[in-house]
Amino acid sequence: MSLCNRYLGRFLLRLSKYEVTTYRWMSEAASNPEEVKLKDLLRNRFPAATAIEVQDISGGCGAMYEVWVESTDFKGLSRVKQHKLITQTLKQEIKDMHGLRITTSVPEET
Amino acid sequence: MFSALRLVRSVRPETIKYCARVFSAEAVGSKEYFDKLVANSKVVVFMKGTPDAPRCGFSNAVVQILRMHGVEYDAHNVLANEDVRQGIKEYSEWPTIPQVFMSGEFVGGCDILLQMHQNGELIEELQKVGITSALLEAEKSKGDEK
Repeated sequence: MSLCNRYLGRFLLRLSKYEVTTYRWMSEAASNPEEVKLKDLLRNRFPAATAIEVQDISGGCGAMYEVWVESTDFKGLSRVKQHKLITQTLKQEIKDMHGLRITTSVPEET
Repeated sequence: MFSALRLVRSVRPETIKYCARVFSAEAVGSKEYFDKLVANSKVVVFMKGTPDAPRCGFSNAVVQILRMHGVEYDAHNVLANEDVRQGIKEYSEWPTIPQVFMSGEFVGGCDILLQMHQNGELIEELQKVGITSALLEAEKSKGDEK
């Protein structure tokens, strides 16, 4: 419990300092079949995407995923609309999930 | 950690209105029903569990963020009513809980609120609906002291 509190405390502390953390997980190739399936669905929907990452963060049950898509498709859209593009793509799959974390970004222009 | 929380709370004691009231005419879960619910308060949250006892980590995160900003809001526990739970997803075309509404507009779920909190956008959005974030006030009073 105290350990848990400590982590929560740190989490809150981080939030309260407005620390902007660009969230990137270690990019490793999608390994389990469900991750591959989700990734393929996204790749088909966003052929222009410069990055697509899907990670099972459920800890085993396969009901929670983290998704990151970087694509020019999102340009000029509100964040709600950006996320909706993702959730519409994964509509069927989301029905069996408990949770889903989505991060969308637009590639920086060079 | 507790002292930090107490500090945040002391900035502006939160008062959360529980909205157990059921609006008479509209069928629970209908579009009209949700239209009324989201218009009832400047900030309305659909979550799993209650602000005092969230039943999901994502819902808990939203509660913690709003608490930091000292925001008053209506909270609806979707676990208490299956029609609300399914209905809100269709209403906002958003497949996950929690869901946050400001001035009747769907703002986002946990991820979006967290991002808005981190990049300061949340303070601006709250300002737009006439709420001054407790964090902003805390910063101002700190500035006055100097």
